[in-house]
Amino acid sequence: MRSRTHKPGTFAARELRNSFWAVVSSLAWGLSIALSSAGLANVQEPKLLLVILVLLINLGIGIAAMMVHIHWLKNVDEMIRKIWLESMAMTFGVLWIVLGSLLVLARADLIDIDHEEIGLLFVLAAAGFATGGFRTLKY
Amino acid sequence: MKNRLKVLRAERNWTQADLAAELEVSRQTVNAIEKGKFDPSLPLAFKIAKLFGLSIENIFQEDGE
Repeated sequence: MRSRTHKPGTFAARELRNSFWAVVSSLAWGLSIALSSAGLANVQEPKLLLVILVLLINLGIGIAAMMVHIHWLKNVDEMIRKIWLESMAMTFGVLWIVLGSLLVLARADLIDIDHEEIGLLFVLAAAGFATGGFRTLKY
Repeated sequence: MKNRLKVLRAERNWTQADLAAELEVSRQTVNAIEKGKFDPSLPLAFKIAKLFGLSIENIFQEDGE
């Protein structure tokens, strides 16, 4: 039997292509949020239409990224899917814990929550997700 | 769960990548199954058994057996 791991049409080739688009869509989503936030921050008194446009772009790219990730998860094999689903669950849990803690601290007037703290949640989510996914490298 | 996957693969001179391609799973999954770190689902176990022309219980055994 000869190795056919990355030839077109094989499982490995499909997995590689799907993973590539999952990463690209994640980066596009992150980049669109970062650019639109930076753009709005530099506009004097942003108009409502501009804000709605930014929100629609975020919604559109966000939904596309979700669809790409669902497609990707459906097409990886069962062990990889299990690892990434656990990674998603961990990310979700970490976000709830951090968000809950921030809200408690803010309610106790110990901190002020502004857009920078909320922005950090995105970074935390991405880091948590990636860390969970590193388990695939164990094998 | 123990299994004879590594032995059966070696008997046929297949690499983990070869077996992974046949089973339509990743090489990491084949490695994890061989090391007993991951137990395959029933459909994948049937696929493995069919590929080697054996029954599932001839390939996979419970740890105590």
